[in-house]
Amino acid sequence: MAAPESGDGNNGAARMVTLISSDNTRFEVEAAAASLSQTLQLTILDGGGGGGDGIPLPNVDSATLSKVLEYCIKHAPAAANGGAPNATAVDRAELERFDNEFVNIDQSVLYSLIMAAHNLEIEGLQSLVAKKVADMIKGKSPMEIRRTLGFPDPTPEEQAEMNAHMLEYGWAYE
Amino acid sequence: MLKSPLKSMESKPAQFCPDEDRISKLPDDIVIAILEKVDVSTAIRTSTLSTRWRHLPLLLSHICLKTEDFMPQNSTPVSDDKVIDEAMAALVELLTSFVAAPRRERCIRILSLAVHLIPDRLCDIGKLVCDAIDCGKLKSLELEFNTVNGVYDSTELDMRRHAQSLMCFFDSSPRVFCCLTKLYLCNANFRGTDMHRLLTSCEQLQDLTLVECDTGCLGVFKIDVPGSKLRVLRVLVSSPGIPYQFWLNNVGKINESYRLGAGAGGAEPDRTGGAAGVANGAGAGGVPMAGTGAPGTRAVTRDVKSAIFARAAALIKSILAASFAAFSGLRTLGTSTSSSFMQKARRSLCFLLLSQR
Repeated sequence: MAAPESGDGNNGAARMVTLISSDNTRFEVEAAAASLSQTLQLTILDGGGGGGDGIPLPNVDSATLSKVLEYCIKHAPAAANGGAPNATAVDRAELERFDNEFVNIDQSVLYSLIMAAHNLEIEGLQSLVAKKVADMIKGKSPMEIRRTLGFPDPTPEEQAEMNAHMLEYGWAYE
Repeated sequence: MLKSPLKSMESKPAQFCPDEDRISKLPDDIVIAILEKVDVSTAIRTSTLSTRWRHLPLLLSHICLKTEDFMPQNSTPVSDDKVIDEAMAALVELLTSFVAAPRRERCIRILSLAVHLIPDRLCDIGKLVCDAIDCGKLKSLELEFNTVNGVYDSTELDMRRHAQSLMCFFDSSPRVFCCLTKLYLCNANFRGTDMHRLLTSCEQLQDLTLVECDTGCLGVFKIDVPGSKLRVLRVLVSSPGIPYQFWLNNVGKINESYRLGAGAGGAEPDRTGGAAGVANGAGAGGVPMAGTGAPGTRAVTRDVKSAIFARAAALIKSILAASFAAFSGLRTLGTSTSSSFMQKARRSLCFLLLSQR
């Protein structure tokens, strides 16, 4: 399969690529959106993912991939503008609103999304999901953090260790 | 030629099973990325979550420590010497853990310290930072030095002492200059030669903020570094009726004299705006004001002086911006004065020479 439009995809009709999730669902998206993934970018630049081939993603299931692609499609235009120096405040506010809504999700979905963002190396998404988890634990007590992140309740030994830690790092518990 | 992304993806530590989809199971580097987005207190609290998490907070690659993080929340800021000293001691202890973390393989990308001028503690910090630099563990250093006495409580003598403490820190840790990218100094009265020496040594400096810093009457601040990397410069001053002098190597000397008063400030977006706000807050908060009239009179005076200030600040800004932009890569320049008309007219300010050869 020849590399279409000399691989640039900047002129003419938008080039499409196909991604295949771990459960064999095929997703067709614009190359520009999929290229937000550092992992996929080189393959796509080399002309991969077009036609009937598709790029298999054995680590990402279809539910997660569709969520990831929702993010990529929304963010692709701004990324294409090189960080969007000429984006209007309205555009930026809209992206921010989208981002806030986007991570307003169940923890299991959030977990899958974190792993997918990491595997696919989508920088903006990695930062967004890390920020979400950070906001979930910021300023909370150790017990609250435990419950938020799904750690089991502490054993007596762990409790003793927590107390010792609290004495040693008193300033962190003020 | 079709390259499969499979290979690169297999090399990632991405083991996760559907029944274990919990954030507590995330791989180390993702946990560290998360911890870099919380305050240092929260990060330290997570070290009791599990054996695996115990050392993770110490492996951050972007570390940001402020004296305030280590102070009890209800302590009145910048007032109690003992509280500040204890906070600095705790900061030094934690910094030691960060630098000496046994499992640290990645270097510290950015170490950002906002500390108070307590000579003994600064000495410890200097040693730690220099050790980290020598071991190649530190890439970029950002330093902010605050003073125990606020601007309004400081005498000329205090200001001179602050400058001496700063010079002492830099003289005993000269290696910090090779990593120092951002510097914030306040409330210090430097000897002209010291200031010149300090600013000239900062070969990697990109971002400089000077708040209420001076070199005595009619002193000149000089940054004489060939190919200076300075990109952001902020100067906050209070100098009623004192001439501003600008030395610019391609323009020569420009003498401008302004009477500046209670400037609420041509607030710059970040640091400048914040500091001006603090200064105004302090002024409103019952700092003794000599020679102010009835409240009504004062309000009028403030308005008039603000207007004068705004014009002067705009002029300063345009002169500096135009001149610097002509021959350096300076991108941001902020100038402002704090509300200071009630203060002794004691400052001479804002003298810069930035040469690019």
